[in-house]
Amino acid sequence: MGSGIRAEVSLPTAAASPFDGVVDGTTPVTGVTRCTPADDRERVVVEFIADADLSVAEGVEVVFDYGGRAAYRFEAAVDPDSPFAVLDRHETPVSEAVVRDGRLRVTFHASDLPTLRSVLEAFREACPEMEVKRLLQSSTTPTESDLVTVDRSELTERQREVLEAAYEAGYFDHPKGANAGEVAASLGIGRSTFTEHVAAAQRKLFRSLLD
Amino acid sequence: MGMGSVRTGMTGRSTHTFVCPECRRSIEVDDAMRATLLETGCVVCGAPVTEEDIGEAPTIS
Repeated sequence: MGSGIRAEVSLPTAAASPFDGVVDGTTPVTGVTRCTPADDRERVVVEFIADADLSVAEGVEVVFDYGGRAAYRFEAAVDPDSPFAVLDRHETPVSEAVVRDGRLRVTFHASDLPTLRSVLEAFREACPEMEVKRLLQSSTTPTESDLVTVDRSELTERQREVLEAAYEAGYFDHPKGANAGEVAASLGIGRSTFTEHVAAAQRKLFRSLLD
Repeated sequence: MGMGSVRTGMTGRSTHTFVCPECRRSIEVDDAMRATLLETGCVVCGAPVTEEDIGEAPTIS
């Protein structure tokens, strides 16, 4: 009990995955869920959340409109090399799956180290460009750990860009490595525009952290 | 505490950046996973891991 490992793995969307040819990876995709019809184990039905104006391939339908965002659904043949199929074979559910910057990021809980090694070996065989981003082993007591999920897709591309530039420049350091005017200048925007972007991004991030 | 650790204030969990000397993969790991890697080697390629391979994580401020 409790010897499991939480793993976050990143793979190109062009590698074997249900998303190959469905989304181009430039628009963030979140909330990926899937099911396999009982009468046809060779097919998989995949659903995901993305901007409502997403350009998608034929065969992808909108099943629910959230306003600015929408739930999309499509069917695909099961590809045994897909990370989802690999995890299925290891009887390991996908905890979270998102697409960002052309890469599919999959989070799962391996029940033990041999399972993790086996999953990663299968991922690597199917896709040598596989990256392991993060591994956490559950040895801390619950009171020592307080994980939250932050959905970065809530940030606009511009907000992420501004935050990254500010962070890199040391704007959030104490003492500051750069002031608002300097970071704004490096981005070619006005100081007030910069502070508006930072404030909006901070508000979204803190809402996730403090909920 | 080994070198190159960062304690994140909110969770009290230290993270380290492990770079495999063989497969060159860079992986962020916590204290427990760090100990596992030192004991059992890289989870991807199986190469032996030493303390020098587990450096500092990006500072979280």
